[in-house]
Amino acid sequence: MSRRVAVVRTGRAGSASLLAALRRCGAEPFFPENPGEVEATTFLALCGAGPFGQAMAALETAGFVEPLRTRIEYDRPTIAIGLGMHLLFETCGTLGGIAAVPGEVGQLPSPHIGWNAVEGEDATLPEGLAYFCHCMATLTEPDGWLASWADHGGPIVAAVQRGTVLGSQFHPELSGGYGERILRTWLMEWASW
Amino acid sequence: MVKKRVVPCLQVRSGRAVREVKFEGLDDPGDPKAVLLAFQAHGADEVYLDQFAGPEDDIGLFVSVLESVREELAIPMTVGAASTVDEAESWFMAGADRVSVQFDPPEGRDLLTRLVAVHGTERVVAKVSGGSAAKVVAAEAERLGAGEILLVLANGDGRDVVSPVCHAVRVPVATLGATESPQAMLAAFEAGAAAALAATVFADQVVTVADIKRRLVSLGADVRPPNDL
Repeated sequence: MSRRVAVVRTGRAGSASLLAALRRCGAEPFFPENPGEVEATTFLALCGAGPFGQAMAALETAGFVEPLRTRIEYDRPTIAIGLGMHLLFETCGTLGGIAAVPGEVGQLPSPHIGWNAVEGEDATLPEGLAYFCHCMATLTEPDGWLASWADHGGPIVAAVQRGTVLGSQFHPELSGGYGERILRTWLMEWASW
Repeated sequence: MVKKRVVPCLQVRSGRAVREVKFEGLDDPGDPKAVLLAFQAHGADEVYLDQFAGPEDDIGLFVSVLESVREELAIPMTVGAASTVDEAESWFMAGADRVSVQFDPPEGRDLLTRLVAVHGTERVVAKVSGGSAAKVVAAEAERLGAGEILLVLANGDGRDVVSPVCHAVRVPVATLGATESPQAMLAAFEAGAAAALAATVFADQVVTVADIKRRLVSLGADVRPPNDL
């Protein structure tokens, strides 16, 4: 069965990879046109590139902040990738985020670019090597969420999950077979929970 | 810790690989899409596409190659070297995950600054020529927001060139130009490089990324295994 996935973009780079990966998993990505669609559509992916403030401003202009917070509160299947995951948190420095996940995002001492092991004792994500490309990160497990971890000169959060909502610091759409397994699991298995 | 990256690099002109690859299994060893997907299947950590174009070449054709590759490529694709903001934008929209900028000329600095402001540090790579000034130039690229330094080496350049640049910046350093063998890649990694690009080896010898990675593993390098996909 083909699943339609709303893709919310906050920047121009990076979305082509995600759209292609979703299509390879048999999904039909589309761009939501109004806040109602963002809140109610079954599957939604939030991706982004560029500065945090610019991305939040784009979401606010589109009227998408509140609907995103609501759908996550109601545990609608949502995947937020890279900057998309950062936007879920409460703050990034002095900037406010969607605040669907408790905690903050901060600057890393050096960019984390390349393939690294995703690990976690309680996490529901499989362990494996995933592709990371980021300069900001969160370092603590949010209350009420399960975290997976990666080592970048110290532990950083590789993913946070609660029910069918996944925030992924790494890029499943660029992580070969490992990433595809995660996208397929999100699309096919978690949705039936 | 993050694995050292092995990144095959392909020069593309008028929709074709500038030089055909020698490894077996391809119907058309000059078709960029077929070559790049083979690199992926052989365990590449990323692919780097280098636009090799003169004024008479069809720029739109290069973008359509990127779009076509993106549909099937499930690993990162870096594309270079952009000469204008519009060109970089068209590559990002077509599926480039990162874009490189020739940083040495003054106009490269302006372009890098403008791309970082819109797309973020992690999406922009500064291509810097090796040589005595490389350390200073790389530090300047980092200061202006580059998320990685692509250090272009001359034949014979080794640790003495790579190591000072790696020590001068906190961002990852990738090497290109003199890291065409597992031994040279290992030397670059040991000097602090995060990634090694190889281009001519695939046109000169019957060798795959998997062959290179297997050798690197046997030499003790911390790379992602070639059969990880």
